[in-house]
Amino acid sequence: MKRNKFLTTLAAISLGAALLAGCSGNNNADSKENGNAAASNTESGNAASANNASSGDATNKEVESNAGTLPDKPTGTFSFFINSGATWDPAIWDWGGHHNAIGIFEGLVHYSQGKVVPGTATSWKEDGAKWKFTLRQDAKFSNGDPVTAEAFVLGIQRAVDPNTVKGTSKASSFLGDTHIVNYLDIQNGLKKVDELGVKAIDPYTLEIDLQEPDKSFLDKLAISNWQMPVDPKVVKLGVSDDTWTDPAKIVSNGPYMIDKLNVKTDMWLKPNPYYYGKVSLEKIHMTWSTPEIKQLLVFQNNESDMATLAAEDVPAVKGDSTLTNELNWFDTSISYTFQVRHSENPALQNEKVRQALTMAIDKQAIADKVLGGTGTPSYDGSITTWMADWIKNVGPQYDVAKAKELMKEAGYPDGKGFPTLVMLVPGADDKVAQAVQQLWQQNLGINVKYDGEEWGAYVTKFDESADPGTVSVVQNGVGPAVANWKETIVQTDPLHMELAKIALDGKAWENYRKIWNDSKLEQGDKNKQASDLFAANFSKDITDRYAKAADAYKKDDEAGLKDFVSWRMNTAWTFPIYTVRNGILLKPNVKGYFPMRMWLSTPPDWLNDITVS
Amino acid sequence: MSAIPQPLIELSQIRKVFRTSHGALTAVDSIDLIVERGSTIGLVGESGSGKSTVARMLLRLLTPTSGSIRILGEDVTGWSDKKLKPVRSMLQWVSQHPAAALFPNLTVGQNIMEPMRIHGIGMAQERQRKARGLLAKVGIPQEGFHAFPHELSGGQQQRVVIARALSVDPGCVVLDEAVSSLDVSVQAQILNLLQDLQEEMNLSYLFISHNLAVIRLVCDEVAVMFLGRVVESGKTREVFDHPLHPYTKKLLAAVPSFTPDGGVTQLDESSLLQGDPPSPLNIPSGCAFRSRCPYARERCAQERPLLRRVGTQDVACHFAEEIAAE
Amino acid sequence: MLVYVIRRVGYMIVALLALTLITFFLMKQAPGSFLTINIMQSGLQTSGHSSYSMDVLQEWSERYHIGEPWYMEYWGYLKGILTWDFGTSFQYPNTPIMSLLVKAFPISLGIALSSIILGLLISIPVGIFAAMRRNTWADSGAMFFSMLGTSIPAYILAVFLIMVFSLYLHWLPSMGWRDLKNYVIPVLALALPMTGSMSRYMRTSLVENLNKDYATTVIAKGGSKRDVIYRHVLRNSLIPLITIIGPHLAGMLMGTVMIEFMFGIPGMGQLFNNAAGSRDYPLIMVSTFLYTLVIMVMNLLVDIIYGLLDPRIRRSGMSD
Repeated sequence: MKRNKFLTTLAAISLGAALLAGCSGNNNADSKENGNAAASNTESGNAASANNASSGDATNKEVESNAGTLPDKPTGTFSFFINSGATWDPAIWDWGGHHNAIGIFEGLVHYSQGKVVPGTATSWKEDGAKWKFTLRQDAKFSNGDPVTAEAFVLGIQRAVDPNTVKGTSKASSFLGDTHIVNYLDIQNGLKKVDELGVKAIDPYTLEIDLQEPDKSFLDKLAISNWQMPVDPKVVKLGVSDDTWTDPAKIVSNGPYMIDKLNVKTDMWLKPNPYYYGKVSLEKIHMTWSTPEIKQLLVFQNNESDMATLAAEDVPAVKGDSTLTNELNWFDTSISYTFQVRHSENPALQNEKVRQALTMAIDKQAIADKVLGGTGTPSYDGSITTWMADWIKNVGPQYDVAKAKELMKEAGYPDGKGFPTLVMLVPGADDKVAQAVQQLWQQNLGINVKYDGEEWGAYVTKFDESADPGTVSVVQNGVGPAVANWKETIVQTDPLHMELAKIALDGKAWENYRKIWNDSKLEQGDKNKQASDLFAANFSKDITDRYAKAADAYKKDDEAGLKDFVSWRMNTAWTFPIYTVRNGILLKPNVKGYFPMRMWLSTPPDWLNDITVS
Repeated sequence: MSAIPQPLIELSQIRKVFRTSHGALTAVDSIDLIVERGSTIGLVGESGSGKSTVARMLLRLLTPTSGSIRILGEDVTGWSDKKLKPVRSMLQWVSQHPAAALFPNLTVGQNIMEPMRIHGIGMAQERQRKARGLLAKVGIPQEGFHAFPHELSGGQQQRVVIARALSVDPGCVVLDEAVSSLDVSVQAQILNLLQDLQEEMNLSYLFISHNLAVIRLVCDEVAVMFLGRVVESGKTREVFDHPLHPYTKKLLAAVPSFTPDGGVTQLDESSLLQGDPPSPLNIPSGCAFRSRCPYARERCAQERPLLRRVGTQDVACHFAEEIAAE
Repeated sequence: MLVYVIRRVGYMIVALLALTLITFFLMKQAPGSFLTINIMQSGLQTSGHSSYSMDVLQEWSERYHIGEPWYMEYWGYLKGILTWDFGTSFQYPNTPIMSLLVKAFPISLGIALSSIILGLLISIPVGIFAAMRRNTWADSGAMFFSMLGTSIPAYILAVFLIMVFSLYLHWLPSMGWRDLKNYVIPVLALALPMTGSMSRYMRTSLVENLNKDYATTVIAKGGSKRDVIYRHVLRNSLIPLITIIGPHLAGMLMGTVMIEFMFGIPGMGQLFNNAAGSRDYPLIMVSTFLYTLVIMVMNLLVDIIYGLLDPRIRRSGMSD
């Protein structure tokens, strides 16, 4: 059991996807504690969500809620930008997959106005690690077939079944962060998919068995694609084919269904005629965006009801009173960070140097001047300031004098004798990375080289050691799985792995890579050799600190948890720079847009809350 | 036709001043020229002396700055292109580079028919018959009718240009260095052709050349130009045998002649023109030729010699009589 | 002429083969493979089943000859191209490459060709206008504006056009891909910068021909200026203009990429960019091949038209 979990996390080499949706692989630490009111013991469906629970967030303008006051007949068209989407199979992991979760499909629960609310499940009962969901009997698919417990079982089984993704070049939407009984053995081909801990007790009662109690289960369900039901009369186990990009063949159960679809161009949604409740909008138009599209112009031309501001557009919007009134600032949970890359040169193994590097970065100036407010200073990769305001005070602060002092203590007075620091960045013109480069050079007197690489080259070099004689940091985008700072500590077990792996010395890292890239080794042997290597080389301090943190979580020892976070920030293995904040323009006649902050693009969290008058 | 026979073309006191970025350039200054039907007038001079400018004014490709151009007694000086159109069939132009003058995208036949098309002469069939006739007349085999100009030799091209010029039955053909770019043997053929055609069609030629031998061969009368002015004119024979202007003398002295035994006479170095002519932008006072003239005296710097009758020629030199007496 | 075309087609085949080989090596030279990159960006590595990558690798190795000697792998692609059976790409294993191309390629080609045609339709009259009034203020004015066009990059011009035609006049959509209206701004944005060099070329070529004796001959023979331009000079001046269309087209197919991104147009730009970024070898090979093929065919067509316009080349068998 323990071994299995360890192996799983091995697969999470690192989260290299720069600033895409926060999907760090998550392993749940053993937590039988049951102290979170948000998600436990709720007979009714009024679960308050962690997403909105902690509010240290003065900048978010409240968008007027109108949930529950939908028109009798679907009216109006809402058009907005999306960033990605290639398949609408809920079993497939896709960056655009969350569009299923905001109203094309409807799961057991979903988000609405920042809270987890009942979806097809009207109520649920938590009994330790066993969850029983009662489904509504009037729910139907877009072809008129009923949505039964069987449909949910099939949907979840498809997502876990490793055969589904074979031949798609995609991963499963079931990332393994929710520990349904037997999921790992099924994924590894040791057990059959019908042994998964998901059962239909009767046509309208669904049971999900977890390996251990999970306070964040409902939150995780609400943003998941894998919990979606699929029509057993239409969809088969074990395959995903291109019917999932054909609107005529996609059968969904949300308030909306896909009407027209031109992948990477635009898509239209229309009301699902069989949806049990009212549907607010007559049409929804979703347009794929690229960084080159001038969303502001499109918005001003009334071709879109929504636009995401580019940093360079901020001054123009601030100078226009109409646009200023239409502007909403939505925080996301995704942070832009740098992290230490391995090198044979041990200069960055010195904590003082890393702290000096952190202290030399004026994050506020970057957020204001480079990003024009489209970012807020980030202090910790997984805990944002809007989740926990105190986070800004407990780590290393911007302090050039102290940074210089630390460099001197480390043996590099005024940067003398310090090796060249290479910044590995995707793209040739990353303004933030250039600002950091400048700050480091000016404040510390060290030589910093900007190494902008094409995406494929960047991804490839990500895990490689720095060039001999240099030290290096690499840009990364990270985010938590849940929006609750205490939960992030236990939900981000891989971050423990991450930190320990980043902290490995250059030689141990190269040995690890040798094992990992050895094509002659069987996967099982690879895993074993790697875990032995980690056991021998992982920093004891890091391992102990994480063990203590897990303990503090169990005891709900807030001071202990804060202490851990503070320690982690002071190790300065990573350099968080900013958390993405989206400037979203919305036409004044659009009501009910509440941002899904767990995703980079902050789409509306439930399309059926939106009305356009 | 008026009662008194008019000369075909009459240029009187024409002047052409070009404005350039370096100031006014007087290319042609107060020239009189008369072309009679059936005669051949030669214009000779160094390059830059204004020969071609005279030709272009005569063709009304350029408008004179002052002076007048009469064609059959009609003053056409200020006429627009539109008004000139009927007159233009009277005058045709044969230039130095036949390859550039022929329409590269048209066949030989089409080239010859093009002026007829412009002037709306005849139906397609008639034009073709006439073109074929002209082709024969200039000595090109009929297969050449469908050839493209680039497929012909230089001499053949020039024959086509001539045929094209003749297609509208002109009274006068301006031959601007028409044989200069051709081989000597070809030159002779073309000159013979031109003479035959002249007799046959009663043509007049304005023959422009720097080649004195050619001028002597074909021209009845000749005008020698220097820096935009005529310095001497008269019957070709007279001018060539008894030049009255020092410039004409120098020009003639520069022509090597053959000795009876097949050799070439030695040129007298001292009699050759020394140095370049003065810049037309900055013509010296008095006689423009004085800087290179062995006869130059005080008077030449102060007084510009005018064209005057001396014996059989018109000459612009203060000392023409002195030279005549030599 | 026929001999010439056959010989040119022969050269084309050799060049295309060489190009596929170069593309193949450059592609293999680029760091990373589809597998590693896809693992990084698709969340595969976090999906929790460690054997996945091995399974997939196995499957792809067989399908795409990965791990075999380079000539075998190359032959795999070449065979696909030769038999016009492109197979499937790494990114979309369920969709034949052909069906991706059939959607994307006509869009890009359509934009590129319409831009060039529009560019010519603008440049030729402007060039004639300027040449007929050469060295007047009208000439300088026309040339100034055309130079202005050249110095403004397409993407900046596009923003300007959006502001004028979408925001101010409300005539045209600012992005998207639905109907003919969506064509207008992208095509204008690509065509206008081109008119700068094209109209200058046209003007220079016209002036050069106008100075030739045959142009003077027309006037001397009583033809009008219109006769000179439209019957003789224009045709001969178009010849050099046609020769620059080939290179323009090549540039245009590249230029459409940026414009496609700006307007969200589902053309080759997006397809190729994704293919290159994710080391989707089959798609890279096929789309590079197709791009080159189109550029070469276009150049051949241009040369044939050139020959038809210029008898000097038509008759002498286009020896060079």
